[in-house]
Amino acid sequence: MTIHTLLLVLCLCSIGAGIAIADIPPPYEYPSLPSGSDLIPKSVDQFFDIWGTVIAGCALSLAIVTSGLIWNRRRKRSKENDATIDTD
Amino acid sequence: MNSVTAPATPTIRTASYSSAVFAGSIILMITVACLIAGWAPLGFSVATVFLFAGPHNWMEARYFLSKMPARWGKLWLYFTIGLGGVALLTVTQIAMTTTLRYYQASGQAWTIGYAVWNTLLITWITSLVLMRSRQNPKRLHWEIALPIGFLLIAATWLWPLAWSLGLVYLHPLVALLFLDRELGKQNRDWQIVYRRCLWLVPLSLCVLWCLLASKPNLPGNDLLSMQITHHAGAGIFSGISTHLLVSTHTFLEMLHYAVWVIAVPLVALRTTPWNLTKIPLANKSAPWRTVVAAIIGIGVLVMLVLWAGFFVNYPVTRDLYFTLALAHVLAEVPFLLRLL
Repeated sequence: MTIHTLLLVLCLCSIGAGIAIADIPPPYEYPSLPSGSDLIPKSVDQFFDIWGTVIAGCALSLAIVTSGLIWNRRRKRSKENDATIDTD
Repeated sequence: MNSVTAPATPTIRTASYSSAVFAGSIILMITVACLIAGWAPLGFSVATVFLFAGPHNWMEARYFLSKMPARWGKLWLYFTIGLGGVALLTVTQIAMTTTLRYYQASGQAWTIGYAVWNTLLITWITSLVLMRSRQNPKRLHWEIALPIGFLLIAATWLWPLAWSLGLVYLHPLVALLFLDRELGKQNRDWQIVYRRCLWLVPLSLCVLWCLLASKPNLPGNDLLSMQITHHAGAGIFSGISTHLLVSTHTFLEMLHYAVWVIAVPLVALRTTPWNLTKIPLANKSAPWRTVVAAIIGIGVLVMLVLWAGFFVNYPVTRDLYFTLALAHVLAEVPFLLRLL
């Protein structure tokens, strides 16, 4: 499995996690996630109920993706270092 | 052999004596702060803010002036974003709270406001951390700040008020980190002693929590009592005794004040606050010297005005102070990152 496949899987998982978080009963009074036209917020209160959770899900996805990228970069760096040591 | 070791003995004795005095002072400070905070949290909070709010801000400003390089050079972007962020985030926070109060906004509007502001704060800190990671001495592993930043953004959108309250409790501890770094540079013996003594902080917190968890809420429905209990998180943690919350917060605040008013001037500044000779910015040119002197002078004036305000109307001045004091909380970030 290449790193790109792994990242794609992680992305899909994190999006799934974001959706799952959106469906989890909130720590304090979020209603369940509405669908369709209800997703367009009608008031300030609704905005946070819906999009607050969605933004949190997206941020969580980005956290997973960026940590994957950093892990990959570090792996490459250590491989390059090992190669240099072998050549020496 | 004797001729080599003999002169070193008094030095070692003096060093161990000074370390012992330093350790004793820390232990006494932590113990007394814990006892008074647990016994009379409201009174202690009123007294400490009255006495130390102004002086500790003045000392912090003086310390930051001494740490500011005369010429920014390659660090210009770092300091521009750092200091620009302090100004921008302070102004947006004040504008947000004023607007929401004026329009008597709902709880949800406040929640959105805090979530957006916290997101800006995290973005600012993360960008500073990433910039600092590429400066000398390099901290390349700090790139992990990016996913951590995203995680914190997720947390702030899920629990915005709890997240903001976390900052209230975390901020006093930052002062302890500043002192540790300064001790590392100025006096290694004291740093070792200091790190050992720091174990008393979690121990004191445990003692406070064990003794006060079952205590009834603090009495008093006046404006000042409500201000203090809400500042400590009474509106958010409804199931926890306000006695416990205020004691914990006041104890940590006292440590924060002690670090900035006593320890940092003793360890890092090592001179009178009005002595400009050790401030790089003041040595840059005559106009800069005037600017630095003016900043220190204005600081004294603000301190006096603050004391006068506390005398005339304590609750209003306290409220105003904690709104404006955000600037010093934020200013700690770029300077602390440079120390790490």
